[in-house]
Amino acid sequence: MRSAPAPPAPAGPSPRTARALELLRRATDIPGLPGHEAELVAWFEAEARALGAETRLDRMGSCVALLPAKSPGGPRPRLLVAAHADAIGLVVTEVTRDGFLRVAPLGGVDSRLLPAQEVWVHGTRRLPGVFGTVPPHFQSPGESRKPIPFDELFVDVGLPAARARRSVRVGDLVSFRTSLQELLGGRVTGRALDNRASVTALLLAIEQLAGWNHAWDVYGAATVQEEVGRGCLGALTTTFAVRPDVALAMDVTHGEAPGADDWQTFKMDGGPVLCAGPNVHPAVFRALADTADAEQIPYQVEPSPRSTGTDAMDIQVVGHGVPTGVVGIPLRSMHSAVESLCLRDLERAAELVARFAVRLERGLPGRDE
Amino acid sequence: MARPGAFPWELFEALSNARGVTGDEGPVRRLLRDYLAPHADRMEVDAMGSLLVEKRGRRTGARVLLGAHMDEVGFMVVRIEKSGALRLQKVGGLDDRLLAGKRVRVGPQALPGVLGAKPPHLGQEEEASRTVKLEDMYADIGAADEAEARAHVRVGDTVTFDAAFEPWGAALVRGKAFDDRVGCALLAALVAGPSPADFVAAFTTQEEIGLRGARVAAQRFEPEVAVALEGTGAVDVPGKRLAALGAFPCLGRGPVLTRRDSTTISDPRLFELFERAAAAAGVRWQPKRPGIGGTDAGEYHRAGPGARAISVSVPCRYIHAPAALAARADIEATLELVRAALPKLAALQRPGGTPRENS
Repeated sequence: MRSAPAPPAPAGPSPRTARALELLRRATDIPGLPGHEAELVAWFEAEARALGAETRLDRMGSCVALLPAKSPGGPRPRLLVAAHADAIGLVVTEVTRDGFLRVAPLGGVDSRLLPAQEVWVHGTRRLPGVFGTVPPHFQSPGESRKPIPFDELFVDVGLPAARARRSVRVGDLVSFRTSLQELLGGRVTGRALDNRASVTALLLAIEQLAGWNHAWDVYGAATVQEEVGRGCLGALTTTFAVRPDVALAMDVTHGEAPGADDWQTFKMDGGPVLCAGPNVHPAVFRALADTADAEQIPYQVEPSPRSTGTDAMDIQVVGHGVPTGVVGIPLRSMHSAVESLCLRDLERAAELVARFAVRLERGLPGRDE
Repeated sequence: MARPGAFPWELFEALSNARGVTGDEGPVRRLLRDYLAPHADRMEVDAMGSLLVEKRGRRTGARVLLGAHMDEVGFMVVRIEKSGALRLQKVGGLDDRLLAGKRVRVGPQALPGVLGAKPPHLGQEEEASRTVKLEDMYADIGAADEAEARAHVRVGDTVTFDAAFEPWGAALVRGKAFDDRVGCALLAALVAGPSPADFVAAFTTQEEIGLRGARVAAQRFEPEVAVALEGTGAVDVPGKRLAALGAFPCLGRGPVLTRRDSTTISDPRLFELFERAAAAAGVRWQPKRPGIGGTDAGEYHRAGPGARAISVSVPCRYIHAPAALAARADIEATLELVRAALPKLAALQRPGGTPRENS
């Protein structure tokens, strides 16, 4: 008897996709809130070292990983690729008499997404918590038509009041509790994909570049405090230290979503998004686009008439100024606990950055036009 | 193996994790059938999908029905859009304000998804002062287009919240659908244990859209005494309105006895019976806030010639939300109370009579 041929095994993720998923899972498991990026940055440093990069932590807490040019010779031009490491979150402002927590946002948090949201409360130990709600049965008529303002929201850690007060202090951090989850079609959802997606893509780019000849010194930086404050603190100080000749900021941008305007969003699985506008040097934009065309990497263009809202805002104007570009990854539901993206876009962004770095051998055409 | 008569925590966990939006209670029913098969004297599934279990005890008396509903609030997929997004409608009472940005499971395969809405960056200023309605949300399963979505999801599939049962410290548990899987677990424990008297255990369907399963179950058995076992809202949480009204019921203060809710005025003798049983068993209990909510008792008390009815509940924070919190001690005390009251229930006569004391 002849056995029937075995059906082809279902295609699993490619090794590269599996690697991206593994890195992204780890990156999003680490809270890494603004001003408290140390654990995330340490992880980035360890990963970059394992890939052969020389690393150092700078004064503000960002990590810079250097892949020196492999060609012999004197001082080489420097490329800085920056991805901000911090993610939005919350901070405890009060532990009430009854043991509930009041919180304030760290970065852009829409209070309308918080009711019933699961969180981690980073107290004396990590505690599960949830934003409490009042069931419809107990609401006054019409109450559900009004959003709940921040000062009426509370986090319940399920502890008796005295124990809650011992375990949590004002100033403790609160992060969304959503571990990375695979969806259909190579998409994933989770917290902090803004901007751990770019941190992951940066590591993938370093991994790729480590095996290639590149004529420039390439600095990959995980920068702190993009999401809060006036400007991007980590990008500003890191750029000052590196003094790059050319820089790229890697960040996320709005992915298409039902209900969102097409003209303000970018295709999921449509490839990386290149910003064009005053925050981006035209020669860097052109070199990125030429690289994508030459390497057959699909890409999209985001017109940014004012600011790009990324590390590039600060990088561009450090010292004598830096020709800067922005490589974005389309992200749906930005600044929520259920951000989502297509892993192929993340991988393409990494590929584009690595290829761009290698092609800089010939300098940056049009730099002085 | 848990000691006989103890609360079946493993069953409760499985019931909480099982998915059974109103009208789609199959997975919950299957769990209960398997668990109860060795203990039931008779089991049937009625035309509404309710699981009706007859339990013989040492004594007969008034026809007693103990009920718990299997269904949970959730959603139904009503449209699959060209973009691959799923449009949903609510099944049961849910506050729109806590839906955006939550994780869900879609259809019989429990496909992971999220409830998406427009991001705040893109919203206009005035939008931040408005709530996000379910009509403006979509379930996102990652499908790139309609064809990919249709390969996994059908219109009419039900959608549950995605929340796995977990202990919260030593005292609390947290999970999905405690309203009313905690009642189901309590009732299953009563069926599985030795019973002093005959009773019918009704695991009902469609409570969340109007007590529909309970109505048919009650018409089938015409109970004289009926008890709805429930997970009820605990509101010992901050809130101006709650502060003014008095924030109760509370977690940790024992079972909740209802005198009056929006569907039933509890039979006074039955209420007294539970009060006395609690005192005799040393179980601390607390009142439900009168007039709020409704349970299957709303149908039990008016079926056929009518029945004495009451609701006995476990206080749970955050019912009708992705996941609720409950105190282990409250759950165990509720089981103890109902078990203590059970022998006395069969001694109650029809409404209008007087309670017969146990001889």
